[in-house]
Amino acid sequence: MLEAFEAARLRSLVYAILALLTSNPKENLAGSAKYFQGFIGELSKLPHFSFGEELKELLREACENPLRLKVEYTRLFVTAYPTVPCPPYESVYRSRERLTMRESTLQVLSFYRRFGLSLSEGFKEPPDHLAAELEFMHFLTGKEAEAWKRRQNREVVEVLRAEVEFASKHLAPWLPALQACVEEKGEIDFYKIVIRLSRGFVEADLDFASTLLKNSL
Amino acid sequence: MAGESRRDFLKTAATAGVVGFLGGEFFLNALKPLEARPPTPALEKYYTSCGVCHSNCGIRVYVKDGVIRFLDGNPEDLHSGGKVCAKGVAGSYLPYAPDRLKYPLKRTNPEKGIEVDPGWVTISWEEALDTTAKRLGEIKEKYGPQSIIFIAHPTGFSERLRKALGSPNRITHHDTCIITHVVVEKFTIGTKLWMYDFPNSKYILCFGWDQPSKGKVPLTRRFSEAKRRGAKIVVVNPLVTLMSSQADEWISIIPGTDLAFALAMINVIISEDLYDKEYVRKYTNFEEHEEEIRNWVKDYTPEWASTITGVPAETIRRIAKEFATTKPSVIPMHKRDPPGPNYANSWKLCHAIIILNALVGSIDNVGGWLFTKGVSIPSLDKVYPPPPYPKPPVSEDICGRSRLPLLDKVKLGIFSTLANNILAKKPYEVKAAIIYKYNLLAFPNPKRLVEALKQLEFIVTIDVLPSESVQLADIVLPDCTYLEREGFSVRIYNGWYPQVSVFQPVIKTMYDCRSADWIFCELGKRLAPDYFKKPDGAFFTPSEYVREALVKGIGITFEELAQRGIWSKPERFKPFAKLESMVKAGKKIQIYGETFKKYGYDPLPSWQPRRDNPSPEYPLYLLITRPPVHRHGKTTDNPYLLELYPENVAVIHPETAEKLGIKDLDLVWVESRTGRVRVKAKLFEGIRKDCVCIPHGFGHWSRGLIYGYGRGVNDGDLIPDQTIEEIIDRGDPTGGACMCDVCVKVYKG
Repeated sequence: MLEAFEAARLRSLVYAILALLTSNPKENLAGSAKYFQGFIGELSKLPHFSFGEELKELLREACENPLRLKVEYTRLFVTAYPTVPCPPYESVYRSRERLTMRESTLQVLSFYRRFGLSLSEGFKEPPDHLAAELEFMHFLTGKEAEAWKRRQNREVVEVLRAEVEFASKHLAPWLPALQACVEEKGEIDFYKIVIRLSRGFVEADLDFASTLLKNSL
Repeated sequence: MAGESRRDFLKTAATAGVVGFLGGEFFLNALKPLEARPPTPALEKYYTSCGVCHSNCGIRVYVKDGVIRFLDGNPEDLHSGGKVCAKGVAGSYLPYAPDRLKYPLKRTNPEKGIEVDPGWVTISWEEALDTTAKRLGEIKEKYGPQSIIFIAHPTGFSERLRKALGSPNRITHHDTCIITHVVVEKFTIGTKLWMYDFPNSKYILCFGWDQPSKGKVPLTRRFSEAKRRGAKIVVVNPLVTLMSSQADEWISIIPGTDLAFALAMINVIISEDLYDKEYVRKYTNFEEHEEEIRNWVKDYTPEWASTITGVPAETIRRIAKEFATTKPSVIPMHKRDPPGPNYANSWKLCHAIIILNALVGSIDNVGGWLFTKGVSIPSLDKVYPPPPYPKPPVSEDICGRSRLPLLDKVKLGIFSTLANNILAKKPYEVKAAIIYKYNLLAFPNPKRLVEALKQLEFIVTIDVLPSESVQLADIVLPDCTYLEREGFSVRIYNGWYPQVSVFQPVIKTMYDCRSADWIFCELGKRLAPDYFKKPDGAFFTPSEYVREALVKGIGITFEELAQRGIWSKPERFKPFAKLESMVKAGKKIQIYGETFKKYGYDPLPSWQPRRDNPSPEYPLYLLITRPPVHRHGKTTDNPYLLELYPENVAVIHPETAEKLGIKDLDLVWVESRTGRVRVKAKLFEGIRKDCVCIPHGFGHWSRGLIYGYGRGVNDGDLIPDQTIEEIIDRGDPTGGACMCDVCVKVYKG
């Protein structure tokens, strides 16, 4: 049986990697990808994580060909031609008008605030960008790991509740639509895989966290 | 190795203060620890101005949690009077448009054209600005500064850059929009006038003047007031629009013949001695040229005009008498009405309308046409005087403006000749373009322009949305929206007292967008640094300019103006005050155009037919109008406005349609000598049987526009472009683009 602390730590790691891969590729992408490669082996200990090989391959590609990813990222998520872009913002998939900065965006922002976070200056995107939401899950699961370590059961429950609420109300509901969009419009496989893995993990992890929460009460 | 990648990783991750699990840090890139507790969210109110159209109505924007919730009009503002049009309300969407340009972009596919993927990749501002400056610098060095053209809405900053580079090519849209008014009013009245004292008018005669149908708030709200107070409204228009429904009388006329109607009115008013003798003697040059004027107009009888316009002579005679005797009366005109640059004779219609307004004493008078009460805020060149600009090695511009001396004095235009001259390399080769705030679809025959621009070595486009102009660019620089920038607007649609309205960022700029002013300064620093400095040698910023200009111009700080929204200097309207000061300076309204005569143009607006007339091949007149809820192609990517008005159609009379075998909403081809478009037909009894009407603003082919793409058609594809020789041969001093002077055929398809 995997220790609760260890499970939370590894889940947090998966979210960190997914957040990296769903961010606009920057010059230092290769460095971060290389750093995370070292952790992939451990992840297989997680019962609901089964895509270690694929993730390793994605990280390898991120190290090797960042420009190729940058062109595809721009085309799919920023400004696209000739196909319609797949804006990577929750509100676009959850508002009838497909707009940014809607009510759901503000709910996401207040979630971040509740846990003492705000958007960093260098991140020039709305709060419900996929990478930010994944990073927030990384943060929550990390907090959970800390709480387990310090044996703060009340805090564990509080964080787990937040994980379940955030994933079920925000992150999970729009990923199928985004995945369909990227499946249809992606030109290289990279982001199709990234979004498929993200959706798969977020859904499985929501089940995992819900069960854990039930058992911890 | 592991140590190195860990260091790289740590550079990415913001780690401040969070103790975590990955050996001590969270991977934080998008998020950061909150520094202070945010204030309890409350609705904040900011004053600013609307930037959808040229009116810049004063608005109040309500913001919660840093997001715009709604906006309304600022009641203090003489422009909006507290009202906002649909475009203005829906404008709050713009910062949040999912498809807006977010980061500087670089093209990776060298091939350019319609339906060609530019292969965008996001780049940093530094790379974007450095690359742009390097390419422009090389081109200037190799081919000379004239090879760089500015297809840019001129601002103090864009003009500083153009002049510092030494390019004579200031290409503007005015020949497709307002140029006849600007040139004719300048050389007859002395300046361009914008506003009417409608609430006090008793009789308003509209030659296609249709502003309420277009939702232009400063004009519409005062027109509505006139209507409420019982003014008689007469509308002359081949098409029934919202205005016709407000009119006491709608007169259908053959398109492009309004000049004949106006000339016959002048004939009646002069021959029957109905004009305001005292006003005309004091404020116009009528007496000095009376004999010539009477001779010129004597043959333009209502009977003569009737054969040209299709309007009964007795109607024209009656309208002339009513107009001259129901005081105060006025004939308004604005932009693309028939006196705008629509027809070969539009500049003369503009002159004829000025004559009519002068004959009844309506210029600078109660219930009439008002001079703008402006205020002088120092320009960029006044606040930060530049070193002497280099003399352009070639002074002739690419669009041929320098061959039209009166147009050259106002330094506006010309879109309609640009494509031809670039393709013909006349008078020289163009190698680079800076495109700002202009969409290619606004040009007559834009497909030809695409061909022309494809020949250029380098194009940089500054824009908010991924418009057609963006799709041809090598580098794209994302502009911020009007809700994210600083500035001010001196009210021009107002003749009562001076006002200045603020532009202030009501939200934090989204993504990595920057104001166009900042972009021009950054390019300037790289290309001509000496021209972008303050007297102390430091570089100036747009923000500093705005602040200095306000203090020097109206004596208040930007912060005060932002707090108040509007700066006003209330005073009472004094009729004839401006005319009196003109008379003192030895100037009068030129009913007889002495300046026109001096430059070899018709001093009096003698009859001249339209350019294109129906032929067996193209039997129908083309009319172009603008939907009330759209601002040209600028808003046809806005989902709220598209819900109200989703696409354009070809409006045809049911009898005409029946003859052509066309049913309501059938797909039809509309074809002119320039091109053809495929669009739905809409049958409507309120249009003349010899006309087809297509509303403007649709037909986007940029797939980047996620809502606007593929909706409706662009009327511009039907409008012929021109050569400068054609304009010169027509004797038009204004260089008008003849935007409606074309005939078409319609067939099923």
